[in-house]
Amino acid sequence: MVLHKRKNKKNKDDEYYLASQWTLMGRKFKKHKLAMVSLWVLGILYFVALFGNFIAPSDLVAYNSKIMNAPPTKIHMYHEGKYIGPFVYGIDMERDPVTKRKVYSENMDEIYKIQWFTHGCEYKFLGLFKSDLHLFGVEEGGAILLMGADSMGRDLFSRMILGSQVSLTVPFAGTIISFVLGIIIGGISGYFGGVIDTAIQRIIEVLSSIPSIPLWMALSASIPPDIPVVRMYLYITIIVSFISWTGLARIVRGKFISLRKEDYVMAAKISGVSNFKIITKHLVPGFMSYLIVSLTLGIPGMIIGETSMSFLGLGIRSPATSWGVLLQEAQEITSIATYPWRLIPLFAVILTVLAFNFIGDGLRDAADPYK
Amino acid sequence: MRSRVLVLLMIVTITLGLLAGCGGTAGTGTVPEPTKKAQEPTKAPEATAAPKPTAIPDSKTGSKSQFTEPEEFKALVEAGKLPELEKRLPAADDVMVEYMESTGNYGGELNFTFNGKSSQWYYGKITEEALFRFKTDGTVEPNVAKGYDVNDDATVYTIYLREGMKWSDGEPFTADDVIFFYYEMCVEETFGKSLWDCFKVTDPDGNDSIAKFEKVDDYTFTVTFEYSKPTFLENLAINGKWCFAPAHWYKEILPKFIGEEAANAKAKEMGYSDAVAMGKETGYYYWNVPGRPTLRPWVVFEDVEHNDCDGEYFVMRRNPYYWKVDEKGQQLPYINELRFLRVSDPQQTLLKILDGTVNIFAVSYTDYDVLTANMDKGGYEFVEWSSVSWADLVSQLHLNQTVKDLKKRELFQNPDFRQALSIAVDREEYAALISDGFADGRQAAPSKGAMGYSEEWATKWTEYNPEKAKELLESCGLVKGSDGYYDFKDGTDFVLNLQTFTDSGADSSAEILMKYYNDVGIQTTYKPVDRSVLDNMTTSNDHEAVLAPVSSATSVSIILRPDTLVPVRNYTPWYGAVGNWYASKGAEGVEPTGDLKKLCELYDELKGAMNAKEQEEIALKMLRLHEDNIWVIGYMESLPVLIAKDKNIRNFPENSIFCDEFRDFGIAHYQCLYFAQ
Amino acid sequence: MGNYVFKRVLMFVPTVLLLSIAVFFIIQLPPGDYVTSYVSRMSAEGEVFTSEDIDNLREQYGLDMPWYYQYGKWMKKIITEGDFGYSFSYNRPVWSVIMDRLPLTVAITLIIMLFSYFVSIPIGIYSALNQYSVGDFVFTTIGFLGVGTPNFLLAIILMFASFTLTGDPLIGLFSEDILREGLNFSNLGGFLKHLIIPIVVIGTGNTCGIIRTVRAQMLDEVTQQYVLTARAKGVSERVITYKYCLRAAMNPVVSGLAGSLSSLFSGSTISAIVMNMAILGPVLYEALKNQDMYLAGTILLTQGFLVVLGTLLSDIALAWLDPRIRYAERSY
Repeated sequence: MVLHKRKNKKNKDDEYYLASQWTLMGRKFKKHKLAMVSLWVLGILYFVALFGNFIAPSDLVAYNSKIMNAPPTKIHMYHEGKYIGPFVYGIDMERDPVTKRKVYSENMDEIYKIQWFTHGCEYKFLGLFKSDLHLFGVEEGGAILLMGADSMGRDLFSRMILGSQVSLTVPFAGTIISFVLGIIIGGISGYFGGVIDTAIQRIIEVLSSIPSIPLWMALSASIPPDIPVVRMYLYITIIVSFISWTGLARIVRGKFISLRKEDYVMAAKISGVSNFKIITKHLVPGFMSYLIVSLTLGIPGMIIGETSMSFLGLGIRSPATSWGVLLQEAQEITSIATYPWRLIPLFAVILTVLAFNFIGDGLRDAADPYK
Repeated sequence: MRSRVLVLLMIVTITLGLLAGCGGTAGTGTVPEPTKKAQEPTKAPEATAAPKPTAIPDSKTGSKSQFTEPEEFKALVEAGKLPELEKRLPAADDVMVEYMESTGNYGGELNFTFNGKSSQWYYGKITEEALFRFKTDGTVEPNVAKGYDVNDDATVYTIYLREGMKWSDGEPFTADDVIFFYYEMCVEETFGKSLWDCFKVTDPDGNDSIAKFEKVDDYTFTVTFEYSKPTFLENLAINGKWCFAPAHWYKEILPKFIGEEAANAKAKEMGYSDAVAMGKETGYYYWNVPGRPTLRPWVVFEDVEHNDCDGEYFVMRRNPYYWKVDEKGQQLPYINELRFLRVSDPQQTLLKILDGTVNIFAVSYTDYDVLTANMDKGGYEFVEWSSVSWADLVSQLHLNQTVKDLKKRELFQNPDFRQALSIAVDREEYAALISDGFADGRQAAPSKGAMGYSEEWATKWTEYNPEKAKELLESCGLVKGSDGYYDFKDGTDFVLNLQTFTDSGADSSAEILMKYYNDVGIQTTYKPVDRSVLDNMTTSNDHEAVLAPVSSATSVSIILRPDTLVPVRNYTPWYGAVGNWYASKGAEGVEPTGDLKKLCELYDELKGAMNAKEQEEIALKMLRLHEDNIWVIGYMESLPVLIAKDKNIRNFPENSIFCDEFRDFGIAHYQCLYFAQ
Repeated sequence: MGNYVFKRVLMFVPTVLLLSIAVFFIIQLPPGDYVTSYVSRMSAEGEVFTSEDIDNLREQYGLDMPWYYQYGKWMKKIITEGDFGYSFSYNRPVWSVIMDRLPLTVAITLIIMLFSYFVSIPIGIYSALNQYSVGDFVFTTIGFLGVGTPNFLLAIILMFASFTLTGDPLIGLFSEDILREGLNFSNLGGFLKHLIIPIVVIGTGNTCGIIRTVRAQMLDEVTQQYVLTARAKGVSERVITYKYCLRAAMNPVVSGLAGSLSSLFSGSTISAIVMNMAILGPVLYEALKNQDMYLAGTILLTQGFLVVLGTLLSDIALAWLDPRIRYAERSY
């Protein structure tokens, strides 16, 4: 009889009590509006990064002296009153004879229609398939600069999208490594206590006092030159993450210490469950919320760390691009004063970091669904 | 602004012309007549109607005017703290008179930013007072010295000093100080440097000998060489700069005079680790040691505040014993003090220029727009000086002619390969990208007006022809591989590794060059390393293709300073270990072949040349070798040095040449600058 | 409690020692040494060095020996004479270079930390008690913005904004008057003015973390049983919030104190460079670039020492705060 009852529609209360932890978390998460929005935002960002080569009209080495530091091109629909669909004008550059400053103006005689699914520069999708299809573009001779051009005439919009491929993925690797290490080591430290705990704690102290900047400098200088820049950055990130698990480990340890006295742990021990299983299956889910939160908060930390590394001239270097590289290029009075569009990647970084933070927030709120 | 027209008309020609026949003009003035008259200068190579460097009028010795001093000193004299002006200046017949565009008035401060210890040469050069200094036309004139005589075969120089001249602490400056410097400090290597080349001479048999200094009287001394050294004074002005030291001060602190222990104690007192460090710090770099007497217009005094040159802020104050006056008799300098504010980032310097605090500073063309926008607010204007680099620094490529990889060595030594690299790049586009239109594309060659300049050289191999480049590469024996890049005949990959140092600013140019090289089929990588690492690599011949080397090809004078163009020692990347070979007389390094060997042989001839005319002929031949071979590949002409200068400052040369011989900004003679009221 | 403290203090020394080795190793890791960087810098200015000169310099600085010898020598000198060696670039005893800047560094760090805590703890409490209100949302966003903006870019933007608006870019911690005359009452305003940008740039980065932590912890506590009980018993909200919940909530804040200190030291280096603050960070960075080993080593040692000390103090504070930890320290 009971078995049949299951087929009937459950009432809301039963649903609540029978639902798994994850379902409940999901539901509570959906209530946090900002977190939901952020999830969408990140989704879009990662999607764009995945198809970056396709979406970006240009590539990383499209130097063009005729549009150096050009401001964003305006997209027009009407030309002299007539509707002809989205297009851009040609870009003229003149040098003011007195002040010698460059002035860009639109050349109304040249019209470049925006074409969809055009053929542009070649690229390898996901490093595997060759293609030259781009979402949009203009004919030869024209330039569509949605976010203006940088100091060598490259399209900033393209660079930003292609840069996001690095900035959004490499920090992930680092964070996951720190995460795993932090849980395991912190868990061991907190669970076993005693000498192991003390030893690990001291190691943590030493590691966490190792300052990041000298480490970056030392690593950057020691890695041989023939390794491609992005891979070098990956190595540095991995090495650094082997050191940055300490923060999480300390917290995990603290939680473990408080939790291991709980009855259910005692019960598990008596039942003969192995220590490892106790840690992973029983203790860890207890503060999963904190872990997930720290995961999502760790990524923005690494993104900012990458920008700091670029500021110091370590890490990624042009023509390989990341947001850090773009920010470092904007780190000039001249940029801020005369070419403010170069600061747009700053907003991309802020947006991403905000998104991760809100998601982490939402997860934290959602992680204790029984409240 | 486009192509800065340089005029180095007389840099070498008049120098050599005047020295021809070993005659020399003595410093002008009422001093013992020179024993030989000056010869007619040889005609300069055809110069264009280009603006010359602003001529700074010659200085003179001896003044009949009534001497005056600034108010602050007058007050101190009255309070009895300072002797009166006549006693502080040299004898009226011997005082040095600086002539300038307009005589000025006292007052004002110059503000600078600095970056700690690495800036010590910056404020060293602008306050420097050497025995002899360069004029804008490339000749030397007496400065601390009053004048000189030289004998027929240029083996004995008699140098006259100024009577009554005093150190900044009031003690007399005499020939003793010069002799002391030479024997106690140079020869003994007290400040950690081996004896400079200017004091050595090599006779035709290859034997080196050093100069002999002898005191004649308090204000006269002679320098004797075993063999003729016609360019001694120029070499001195480049290498030896100041040839004196306050003997009275050093006798209190050097181990030789007070004993090892006392010296070490004294050193520790002054803050150094030991007497050796102290000797180095106070002997060679001394202008930032508070209390060390100097002859400079501004001094870092002891027992006053803000004299810590390693701190956040320090001030150099007027020297009351400064030995120069203007034509009206006013004791120089006009400006009260030099203030230095420490910064950690060039953007901060830019901000300080924009807000008008920093009065005279070199700026970058990339900041041109924001500087122009703030000109009125900041109260400054632009001045442009020329540079003498053969090509813009970040656009010079030095292929190591002795690179360790033998296959690459063969390739680099092949002029066709260099030509291929040269014509693979669209210089017009390149220059537009790198210099924002302020400079043109060009080959690495002497600038217009400099010795050896020719239009053909400046445009040699500057066409943009990637197809021809590919043909040339194939003619060098390279074979296109399956990946689209050229490989060696035996199938091994050929990768061109570009290197530079991290603050060179060559990142953008390297990027663009890489793109062109890749397009034409040469696989290229780029790695900037720390400057010290690059130096290390250069010294041990581990470098390959250096972009924007520290020691880039320039030619103020290939005769006086050949280091970057001739393999005289281990210095410039393009000749690599040949420098070693030459300096060690064949014991180490790599022996050159072909034209490179000819270059070394010509340099030997140059050293043994008897007169200026001969020197010039040989120099031209050496430059012709460079033109034939294009050992140094250049892509863009060097940009002029852009300077932001406070509108109210007078006597700053409108146009001059920025180079080490002229002590960078030193040629502007900061002691003559003043603020118009 | 005493036992616990004693054991922790005992562990102090080996930790610091280990740290010093790690630090020294990292410093000398990049190729080259002080002499190479010194020679290249001076050569760029036109000075001429023969290989003899270079060898002499190496010998003089004792750089011709492998790194563990240098480390041993250095350590020995520290322990036996309290002499931290000489800075090659400043040519002064390392300690004098550090003491020049240490007071200011500590002062600024404390000011910024105090500012962060004073601002963020109340905000955190407010956010927790008024969850999902407009205020909560606003503060959350501001906090996130603070931590999400790369400091160096923010710093230069603010400096330029200050220049555009007021004509004074507020570079460094001291106005020129203060540099000339020293800090006194009349030009204190200059110092305070120059503090604005550092506090905004560095301080806001800190506040976010603290706000979130306090908020989260408070939220956890507020739903606990004992709060309900206390309320039922008639204890005032005030007392509940500050005496009970806050104390528990301070747990992670206090354990994060040490990390906060460490991150302030290294995290503010980049901002300090951009803003030209005369604290230890930029000196350290220059020393690392120039491979001025003893100076860099000593600064890092000092910082590490302070961090380890901070951890010790925070652990002790934590133990005092949460008695469970004291008891938990006993072996399993």
